[in-house]
Amino acid sequence: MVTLIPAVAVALAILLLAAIISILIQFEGGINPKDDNKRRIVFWVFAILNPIVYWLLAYFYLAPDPEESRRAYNRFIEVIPRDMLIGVISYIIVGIIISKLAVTGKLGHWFPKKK
Amino acid sequence: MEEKLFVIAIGGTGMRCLESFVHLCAIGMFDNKEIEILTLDTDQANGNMGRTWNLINTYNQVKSENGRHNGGTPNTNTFFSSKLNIFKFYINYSSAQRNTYKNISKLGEGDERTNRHNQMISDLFLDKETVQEFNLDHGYRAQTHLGSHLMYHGILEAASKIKNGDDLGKPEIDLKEFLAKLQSAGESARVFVFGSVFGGTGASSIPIIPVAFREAIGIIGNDNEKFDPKKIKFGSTLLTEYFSFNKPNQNQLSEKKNSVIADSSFFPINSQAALQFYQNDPTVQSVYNKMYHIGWPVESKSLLEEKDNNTITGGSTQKNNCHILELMCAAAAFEFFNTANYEKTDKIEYLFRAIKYENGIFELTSADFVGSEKGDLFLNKIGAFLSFAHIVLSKNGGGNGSLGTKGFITQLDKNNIKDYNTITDDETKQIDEYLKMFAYSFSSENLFVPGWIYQIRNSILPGNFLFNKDAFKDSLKELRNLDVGNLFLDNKHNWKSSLIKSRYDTFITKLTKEGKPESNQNVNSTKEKFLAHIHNGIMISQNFIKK
Repeated sequence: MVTLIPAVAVALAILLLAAIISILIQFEGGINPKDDNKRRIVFWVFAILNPIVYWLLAYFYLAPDPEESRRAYNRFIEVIPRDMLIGVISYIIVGIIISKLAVTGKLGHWFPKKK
Repeated sequence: MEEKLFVIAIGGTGMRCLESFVHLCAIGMFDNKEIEILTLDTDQANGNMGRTWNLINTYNQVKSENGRHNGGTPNTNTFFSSKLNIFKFYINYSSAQRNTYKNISKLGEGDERTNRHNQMISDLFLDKETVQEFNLDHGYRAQTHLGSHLMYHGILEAASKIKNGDDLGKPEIDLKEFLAKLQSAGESARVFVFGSVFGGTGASSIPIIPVAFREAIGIIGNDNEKFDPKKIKFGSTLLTEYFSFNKPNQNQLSEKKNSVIADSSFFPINSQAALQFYQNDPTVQSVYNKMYHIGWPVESKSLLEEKDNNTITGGSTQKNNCHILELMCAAAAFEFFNTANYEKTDKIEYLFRAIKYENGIFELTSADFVGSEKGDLFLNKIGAFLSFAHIVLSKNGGGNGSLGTKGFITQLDKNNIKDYNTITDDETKQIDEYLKMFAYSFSSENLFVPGWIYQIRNSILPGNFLFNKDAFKDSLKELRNLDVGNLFLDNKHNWKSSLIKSRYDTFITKLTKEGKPESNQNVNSTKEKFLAHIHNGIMISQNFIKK
């Protein structure tokens, strides 16, 4: 449980970053606007970055010192994949919720309505 | 009593004034109004008339639901907010029996005594060799004494045909319907007449129209008491000379059918004589309430690029460019229709407004067109429509045959606004077509073709016309990169931008979040809702509303 909180926090922080970048992408207009695709790409790139960032954070910063407690360290390393998965799922679920709440805004492009 | 609005456009200049009037309707200056329009001409192939008919037809297509050609409904606070009903009447002079005064009056027919008397009376007023024998199917060619006579009798002749019900053509049917609406409106009618006082058809017709209509209604219904022009509010333009064209050459004049050709060097004298007439004629004084005196204080330019030395007398080749004075005339109609209810008096009112002209440059403000009280309203609406035109034609490439309005609907769809996906490709093309006539298009050879607002602006160069010079770019490359939210001279009305947000981005954000049509806009069809949505988004972005 203790390791879940940073996983979800990292997911939300990365989602916030994805949202900021998506909002900064300008509406293009014109005959072939690609801004909606760019926002979707940003969302999924950050979805992939999310577990990587969490793994790096967990491995190099959050993990207990193995010299102090090898057992605690092994237990922490064991749950990292689960936390990464939960982080990704949190990222996607919160992303979908935000996208549906801002349906006509830029973040609505993450998960557009079907025709 | 709800007032009914009627517009009558006469002759080539009248048609171009009507063109400006229709564009004012498109930008939304005549909110929630249903307007009956009669076009009146003798030259059924006239290029200006054809262009105006096409404009109104496209306007009505834009407002109609797909497949229905009812012209939609009046709306409030949106583009294309008035409903226009068009009636087309022209007097046909194309047949050999009717193509000259001599033929139409049957001079030379009947017994010798009658014939001699008819000829003498005709010779008293009309030059025998020229005026009695020139071809009428290009109009009255500045011969207003002949024109008034023939137009009056042309209308009465049509009324007789309507009364007898014999072999009615579309022009007679349209005249019948228009007169029926005028009669039924009675004293609640406001009638505005567009035409020049210096040319042919318009100048001939303005003085006689109210009386001719009274007589025609009397003939059709056997009761001319039902329509009294003296009790109806009539307004008109007193539009004096403002354009010129090539002088007729001897080769042209040597043809019998062209023995009379209008010579624009006489237009100032024609105008002067006409103004004296309007000042003194008791009929005009008794039927017209308001006359808007509109003139051009500097040397007149040609409105047409004449490719050879011949004077264009009329016909399909007469497609003159639009001029700022025609917009002034349309603005006069706006004033006439929007003056608060007033009682008709016996005294005619002459109205005019001076505009700033310094160092050879006109400095026009929106207030110069519609008065200081409505100046911001006009600037807001025409600016919004110009931005809309540039979004569709420049940003979305509609001016060059690309996606245009369709691209805009796709953009809204991508923003999860799917309400307008049912608008068909044909319908989006109709909107594109209208906007091309309003702003510009490119020919199949990729040549720039100025539309109405570009032509209006060109007519006062090097002066300013309400917007900055970027609003009137004319190269494909520059138009593609045009900042559509940066058209106003006053930067406070340009769409907001910042380091991280472009003007267009601000607009789309406002459009999607705040622009949805509201119930008080009275929009019914999907297209009307779409247009209202765009209108609202642009209006919010222009920052006039909070004032």
